[in-house]
Order: sequence, then C-alpha cells, then structure tokens
Amino acid sequence: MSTIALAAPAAMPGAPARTSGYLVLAPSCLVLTIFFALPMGTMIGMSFMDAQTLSPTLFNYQRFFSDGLSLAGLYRTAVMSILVAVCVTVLGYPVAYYLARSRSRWRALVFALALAPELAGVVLRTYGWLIILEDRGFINDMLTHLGVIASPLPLSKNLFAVVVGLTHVVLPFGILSLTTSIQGIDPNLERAAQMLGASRLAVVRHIILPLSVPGIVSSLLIAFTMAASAYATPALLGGARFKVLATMIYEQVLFYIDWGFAAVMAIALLIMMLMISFLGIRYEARRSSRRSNREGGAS
Amino acid sequence: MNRVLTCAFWLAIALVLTFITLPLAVVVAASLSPSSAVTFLPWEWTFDWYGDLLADRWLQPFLLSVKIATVVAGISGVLGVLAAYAVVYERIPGSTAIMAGLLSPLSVPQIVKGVAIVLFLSIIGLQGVLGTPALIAAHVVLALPFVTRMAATSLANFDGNLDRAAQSLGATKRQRLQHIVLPMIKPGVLSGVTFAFIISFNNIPLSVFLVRPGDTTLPIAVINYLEYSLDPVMAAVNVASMIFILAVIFLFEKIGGFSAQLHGGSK
Amino acid sequence: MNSFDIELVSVSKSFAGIPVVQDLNLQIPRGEFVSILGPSGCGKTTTLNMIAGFNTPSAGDVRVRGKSQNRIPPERRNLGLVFQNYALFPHMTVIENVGFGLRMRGTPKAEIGQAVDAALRSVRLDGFGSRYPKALSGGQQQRVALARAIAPRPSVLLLDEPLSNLDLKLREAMRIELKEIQEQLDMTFVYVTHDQEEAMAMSDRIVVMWQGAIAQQGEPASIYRNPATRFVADFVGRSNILSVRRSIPGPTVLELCIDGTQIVLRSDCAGNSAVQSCCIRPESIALLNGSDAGAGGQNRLDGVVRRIVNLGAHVELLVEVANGLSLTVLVPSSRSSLVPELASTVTLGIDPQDVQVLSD
Repeated sequence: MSTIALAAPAAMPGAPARTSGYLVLAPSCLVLTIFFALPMGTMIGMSFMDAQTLSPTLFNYQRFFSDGLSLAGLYRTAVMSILVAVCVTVLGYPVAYYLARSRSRWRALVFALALAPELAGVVLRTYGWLIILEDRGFINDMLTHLGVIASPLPLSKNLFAVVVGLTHVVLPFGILSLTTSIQGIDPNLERAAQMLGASRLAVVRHIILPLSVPGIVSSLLIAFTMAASAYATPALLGGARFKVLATMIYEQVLFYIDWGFAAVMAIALLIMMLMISFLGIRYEARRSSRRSNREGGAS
Repeated sequence: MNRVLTCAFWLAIALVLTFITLPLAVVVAASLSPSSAVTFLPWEWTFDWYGDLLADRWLQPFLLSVKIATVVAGISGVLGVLAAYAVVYERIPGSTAIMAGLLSPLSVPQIVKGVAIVLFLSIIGLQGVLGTPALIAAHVVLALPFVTRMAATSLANFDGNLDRAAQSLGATKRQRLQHIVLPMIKPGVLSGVTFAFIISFNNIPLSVFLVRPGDTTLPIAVINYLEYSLDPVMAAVNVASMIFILAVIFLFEKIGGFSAQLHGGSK
Repeated sequence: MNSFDIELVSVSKSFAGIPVVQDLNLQIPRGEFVSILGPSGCGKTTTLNMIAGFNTPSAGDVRVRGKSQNRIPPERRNLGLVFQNYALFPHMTVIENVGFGLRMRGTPKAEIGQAVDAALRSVRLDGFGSRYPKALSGGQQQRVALARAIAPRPSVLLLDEPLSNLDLKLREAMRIELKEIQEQLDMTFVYVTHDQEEAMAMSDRIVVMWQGAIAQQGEPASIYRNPATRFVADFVGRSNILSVRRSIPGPTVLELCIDGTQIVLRSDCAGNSAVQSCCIRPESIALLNGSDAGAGGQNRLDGVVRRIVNLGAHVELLVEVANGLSLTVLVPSSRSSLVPELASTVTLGIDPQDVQVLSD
C-alpha cells in the first residue's frame, strides 16, 4: 500500500487542536469499526465454528484441505491470476512506454482509449466479451460463416475466457503503474546509450527494461491481486464450469448457507492476497535499502 | 532492424488498443441492433432497446443505485476529509498508525468484506437491514479509504508556505481552512468523491450479498438477467449507465472548475 | 518607549536537541533595512521564523516594539512575510491575493480596494490585478508577493531570500527597487539572504550569522573593510587570508610573521601577540613598478605571476610571493598596460592599513 508523507503545514500545536483532531477522526473510526473490523472478527470467529450448533471446531479447515474441490479452486484462482498478471504486464508495456515518452498530439487519444474503459464498469465489459466469445457469439459466428470451422470453438465458460475478461478489466491499472515507472527514467539515459552506439533493441534491453523493473513488479502485483479478488468477471465468463475462490465463496454463502466454510474460503483468499502484498512490500523495502546503501557508499 | 522494431512497436500498440476498445464497441453496436440476436454487427440500426429502459424493471434498480451512490459519496467525502484533516493537518500523535488503520480495508478483497458484513449482520440478528442501509454501510467501508487517501495526499502535497503566508497576513485558523486549505484540496477531494460515487454505482462483489430480492441495484439486476439472456436490451442498459457515469464525471469536473485556472495560465 | 521595532533577547532554539540558534541578541531600529547574512544552515531562517512566530524560541524573548511575542500566534503579530517561493495563492487573482490580509482583518471593501491599488502601484504592477499567479512571470510573481505583504501595512516586513529564484539581471534590478520601496514606505525590512552582494547593495546594516550566532554586525562598508573574524573575511567579499605564526606588537604597528616563510607584514591595526590570521583584500594590493619606491612604511613583496584570470572588469592574478604562499591580486582591466605577463616577476605593495588582523 502506498504511504503518505506526513509533511504538513505547521499549525500552531496546542491542546484544543489535539482534542478536535481526535473528535473529527471519530466518525471514520466508528464506521470502520462497526462495518469492517467487527465483521472481519466475526468472520474469523465463524471459521472456527460449526454453522449449525455454533460450537468450536476445526472441521471447516479440515474440510478445506481434504475435500479436493477447495484446493482445486485455490489452484485455479492462482493460475488464473498469474496468467492475468503476465498478460496485463506484457500487453501494457508498449502502451505505457508510448504514454511515458511520446509528445505527439495522439498521446491524449491513446491515454483516453487506454483508460476510459475503466469508467464503463466491469459488467459492460464482461458483457462485451460474452457477446464476442459465446458459442453463438461474434467470433464463432464469423468463423462458421466463413466456413473455417464446423462447430463452435470453446471460447467461453473456461480459463481462457476468464483470463481475457480479467486482463481487459485490469489492463488500465497495469498501464498506469508502468507509465509512472517509465516516466521516472531519465530520457537522457536512452540518448546516452544511443550515442554510445546502442541500437533501439539494445536500449530497450539494457536500459529501459532493467530500470523499469520496479514498475513491472508493481504491475504484476496489482494485476494479480485484482484478478484473484475479482468476482463478476469469473462468475459471468467462467460460469459453473470454471469456478474460482471468489465464486465458490458466493455459492457457499447464498446457496449452501454454510457460513463457517465460506469464512474459511474467504480467509484463504485473504491470506493469498496478503502474502502477495507482503512480497511487494518486501521487494520495495529491499530496493530502497539497496539504494540507500549505494548512496551511502558514494559519499 | 530498427525499422522492424518500430513497426512491431506500433503494431503492438494498435493491437492492444483494439483489444481494449473491442468489447465496448461491440456492446454499443449490439445496443443498436434491430434483431434480438446480438451475434453480428448490425447493418441497420434502431434505438428501440433504449425505450425499454424506462420500464420499472430497469428504472427502479437504476434509481436505487443512484440513491445509494449519492449517499455513499456524500458520507465518504465528509468523513474522509475530516479524517485526513486530523491525521495530516493536525498531525495528531500516532498519525501513521491511524492512517494505516484507516486504509486497512483496502488490502481486503471486496468479496471477503462482503462475506464478513453479511455474516456479521446475520449473527447479530440484523438481517432486516439488508437492502439499502446495509448497502450504504458496506459501500462506505469500500469507498472511505479511497477518499481518505486522496484527501490526505492533497493535504500532504499542499504547500505549507501558503498556510504560513495566510497566517502572516493575519488569517486565523478558521479563515485559513476556509479560504486556503479547502480550496486547495478541493480538486483532490472532488475526484475522491467522484470515485466513491462510481465504485458504489458499479459495485458487484459487495452488493451481491446485501441486496434484497426484488429490490436490487443496477449492476446486480444486470448480472442476474445475464444468467438467462444476452439480448440487446442488456447492451442498451450498459451503454446508458456508462453515459450516466460520464455525465457524473463531467458534472464534478464542472464543480471543481477552478482547477482550469490553476493549470492553464488564464488571463 | 524605545525605538526598536524588533528585539531578540538571548534567544536560543534547538530542534530535537540540536542547537540551531544560540543565545542571540539583536536589536533592529525602526525604519532600517537590516540584512541577516550567512551561509545555509547558519540559523538565519530559523531566526526569521522565530520573529514571524512559526518557530517558538527554546529560550529567550522575541519582542516587537517592546512587547514580548512569545505567546502571540503569527496571525496576530502584524508582521509581513515574503517567501522565497512567493507562496502566492494559486486559486486567487492578483487582486484577491494582495487584498487577502485586509480581508482577513475585516476591513471594508472600499478601503481594501484602495489599499490594493496603492500596493500594486508601489510595486509597479497596476493593470495585472485580474490575472492569476500562474499567468505572471517570476519577477511579476515576486512583486505580487511583495505587494501582498505590504498591503496590510505591517510594522515590519520580513523577507526570506525573496530574490533567489530570479535570474541575475532581474535580481540586480530588484535590489535597487526593493531599497526604494523600503525608503518610500519608511518600513523596517528584515532581509534574510546568503548572497553577500545582495546584502551589501541594499542594507543599512548587515548582521552576519554563523553557527547559530552573530559573527559580526555593522554597516556594509565597515563589515567589508574591517571583518572581525576569519569567517566574516572569507564569507563577505574575496580575500587573502594568511595564517600568522608570530606577531610583534609595536608602538604604532603590528608586525606579523606569515606562515611558511619569514615574511613580515606591518599592520596598522591595534592587536596583540595572540593574533592568528590576517586578511588582505585582493583589490587593495598594488602592483609597483620597479622604479616606484612606494610610500614610506608600505609593505613590499616580490613574487612571480602564476595564473591570470580575466574577469571582465578586472583581471585576477595569482602571485606566488614565497614558497607555498600565494596572494590573489585584482587589477582593473582598464589599466591593461599594468597587467604583467605570466611567469614574470612583480613587486606587490600593501598598505599597512589594508592588513586586517582577525580573531578566529
């Protein structure tokens, strides 16, 4: 998570300001306690309880690790998220490079095209992919008309469809984080490399790619976490044939009404996300400590 | 060699932009399609499907979504600004930890927050508040950290010298907040509030647990319908709601209109 | 009622236990243009902030017109402040910016209008009132900042390196203008800067600060001519600073033995045998012709020209007068016939009254 520098205007510090400071903070704390902290606590508590009798048990966890379906769901979630992360970063990189470096008047258009879909909401975009990928959808229809295929290709209700849909959902965020990172690279470094005889390809390989690794890492992490926690896209494009943790949690709550087990699944998803965030934080910390070492050595 | 690379680069960008815009274009095309099957690009077009949107089936969820999103944007706007003010401007002790606490919901997936809230309400016997009150509370939990973060960033980027300049000119704290601090952070806060409105309006993962049958928000109504049919009325609903979102953004941009003076050197 | 606008009485300030200003005593008379001059980190900005009220002294008392200010917040001190980055309110027009101080005091609209007009006229910015700061050049923004600070007629105007963001030509023009505005308004100006030329050009009095304390204060000319310490001599103007190994006090002159060789310099300054170093301004060293005997009692040194640097109006020579001891000499370019060639031998004449002894 990003941190905010607390460099602030110097108000005259004094006791009344302090009190009013805590006072204005109270509503936020209250809302987050009642509707976030307490529910999270309740959910963790529920995971250790039998849904009917409310007596303490580890059964829900045993079931998660032994019924096969749950671990398979976890595995599918991870594979899907990794694929989305890679697709987003690979597809986003050229666009991000263009956005970071171009000064042409087309830049604004590309920027708008790349980011505007984010405003459209997940449903619209997923619906668009449904129309395109369905058995009787755009692509299959066209290929059948052209006589390329006899029976429709299996393009929807599977891993492929979900990865396509989620890549589309997450791509703008990947592009943004990559653009920021590439913008931070001094363009003179590229010019310097060119003056030293490096070809475009060599400049990309030896200068831009290594220096944008932080952006690539953050794009991968953002894409992974967004994909792993997505609900609507896997629900609509994966359907009953391709279930991930998010859709399985929904089923447990609303169809099977097994709260304890739903809680365990939610906790599994949460832990996976926290582990990924932790990796990101560790990477960031290592990088900044390396940087400060380097600066310390130079002085 | 360089030429091939340049061509490949432009081709890649063109392909990615096509990938991004294709589903949107398809939905817009489908919404104008005269036949009920949305399988091909329409060669003739009609606005008939948009007429269906005024039926209660779509109008009621739309109005509910607007109502919830408006309340959520208002509440998170006020609470977020207050919290950011306390933490960043007043620099109350423990502000770093408090900020981390205020932003902690961001690291929990929405679906997990949704489960937690629905379990909590059921356990304490408040199933009755499912529907609008629960939706508002849950969406505030979702939106508040974003607004708080944007307001805090605006406050942290705010040049403290402006505050001191006003102080040296005799402005009291109240006057400084009113004339300097609030106007300066207004763009950041407004974009936070706009964002809150949009994520509430488009929300699915939380709402899916908390809506009452027969009284759903627009996105939930849409995905429920999508389970049965892909017909062009869906496309029309989606296009109309996107246009609505764009209008909201435009409106907020107008309200925060002074940013134009900040960035373009007007005469 | 005394005539000091600002008094600092044994003021100290430390941040997190690190002293930044130590036991500072300073009196600023009404109507003077006083510069606080020093390198970055010397405590000058902290001192200004204590006067303005943004920093509270750890010890001591800040007084404005005889009244202790320690418990008074900045907004009630009635002081003006001009910031280095101007700190103009970007969401207000020039008129709104300049009128802000009066508006906060609840002054009637008509009166604000007049005061704003007057302030803008005094900085020669009439006609720019409806613009936003972003639409002004750096120099114009600087003037708006000045007009905004003087519009409420503060008792004292504090200026924190206000010219350092301007380019050289504009900076030099603004020096003169600032001084004129100050005289016109008859207002006390406290001007913080690290630029000694700037301080020289404008000030009635210069306070040189170093390491949180006042190194020397006085009129610009006297500080330049008679620097009290090695630091002042080095920081204000260019100088040859020579380490003194031994000094022999005489009845009218002091004989100084300079390190490295047995050079003896005579100085008019009263002094004692504990003198550690002395300073000679490069422009006070004369190049003597071989035949020129020089005035009686003048120091004479022979040396070889090792480097010639053309500075435009002046030529700077580096003359090695003895093994390891070199003096910088400044010769006006207009007398180009006097400029010797590289590696030629020259005779330098130094008047004893130009040899200034320094305490460390």
